[in-house]
Amino acid sequence: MEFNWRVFEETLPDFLNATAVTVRYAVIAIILAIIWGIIIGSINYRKVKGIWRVTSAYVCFFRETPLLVQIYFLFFGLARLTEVNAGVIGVLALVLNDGAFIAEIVRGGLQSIDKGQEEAAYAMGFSKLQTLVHFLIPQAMSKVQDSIMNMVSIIIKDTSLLMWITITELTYMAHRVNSKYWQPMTAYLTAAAIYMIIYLIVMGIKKLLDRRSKKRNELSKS
Amino acid sequence: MNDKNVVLSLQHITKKFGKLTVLDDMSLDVHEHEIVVLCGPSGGGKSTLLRTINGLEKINGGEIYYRGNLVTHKTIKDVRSHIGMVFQSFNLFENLTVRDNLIIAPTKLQKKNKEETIKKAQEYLDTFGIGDKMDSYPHQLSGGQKQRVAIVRSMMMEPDVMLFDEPTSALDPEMIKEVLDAIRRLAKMGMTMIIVTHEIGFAREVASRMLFLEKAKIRVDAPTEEFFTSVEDERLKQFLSVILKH
Repeated sequence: MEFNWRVFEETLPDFLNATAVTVRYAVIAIILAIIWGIIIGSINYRKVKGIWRVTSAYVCFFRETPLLVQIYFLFFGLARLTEVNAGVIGVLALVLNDGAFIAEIVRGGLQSIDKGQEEAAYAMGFSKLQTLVHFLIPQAMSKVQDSIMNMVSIIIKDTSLLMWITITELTYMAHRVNSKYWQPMTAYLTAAAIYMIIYLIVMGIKKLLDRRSKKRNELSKS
Repeated sequence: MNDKNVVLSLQHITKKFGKLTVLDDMSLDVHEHEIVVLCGPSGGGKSTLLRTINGLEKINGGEIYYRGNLVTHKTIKDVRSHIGMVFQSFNLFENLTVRDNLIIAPTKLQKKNKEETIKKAQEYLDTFGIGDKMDSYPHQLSGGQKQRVAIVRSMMMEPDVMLFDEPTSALDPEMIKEVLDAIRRLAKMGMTMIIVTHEIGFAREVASRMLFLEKAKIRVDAPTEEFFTSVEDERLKQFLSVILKH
């Protein structure tokens, strides 16, 4: 079976619409998962009394069970209790799942920081929370940025599972195009190429930011 | 001496790490403008004693008074803002430039005006010979420069007392002098200081009082000249003879 350009042309507008959906979910999930991961990772690093056992159990559960199961669980479980739309459930599932992985990355980053940083901050009168926000988290995040980038690419791909809860994202579209035209090569190759392009754009942005901060560093040296 | 001049008063401090007693019933008053040097063999409790003063080590017994007020976990944050601390490993905030290292505590904690604080930071940096390092990151500095920035960082809080925990132990020999000179400058300014150091020649020069700590006890507490010349203590003599010879 070959790539069918006629089908490609015909379905491209639909694919682009679906791409917008995928990008929207990915961007929201990435931002929220990183914030969530930083919060949970910090709680687990500090072993905050009363909650860290709960948050560690959460991290363990969401890391060790399949995302699709979690999506279904939330979709059918929560949808029963309240009227939440599939989109909210989708974002929630991605944030809870990928945020759990990010939490572990952040915790590891925090643990690798020299204890002296914390002591210096305490000695000056900073509170525990201020110390985390001003000194520890920024340092941890710059140490673990490659792992976070890895998670970003995983989150982009994870959005494809949202097709199972009726969200018309990229993989869903590929599915639909395939069942309409019976052109799996065209449908899935198009989807794959778009995922790839999204990731390359993200990488480009990251490189740009890196170069900017490097420049800032060099400026300050001279 | 007048009690009003007592800046810090440590009463019967006890500290244990598990079963090991590292501070055994230590008492010490530090007066205004006094420069107290703690010396002694490693494991004697010097650094631990210093770290209990600003609560970096919790004590198991005894009391600490700052300006006559008992230090508790409620007041510790306020007390800390009056006590500067300089560490062996500098501990500059790695994610911040020298400027931000210097201004973050005064502006965030003491709510001081940013422009004025930067101006003051520049003046201090000039005084300590590192006026051109304002925009550098810590990793771009030498050890001696880092330690001088750390001293300036403490000074920015306008501290009442400064604590030095082996400030030159992590430095190359050629950088030790520049840091000791910085401390000498503070001594001239009349800063009250407690210093843990192995630089015994330097100690003899700046200290007003010397303490010899051994086996979790303050074994000798004497004015500097007396400490070096007339104190009759076998262990101290032994320690001094070893350390002066080398």
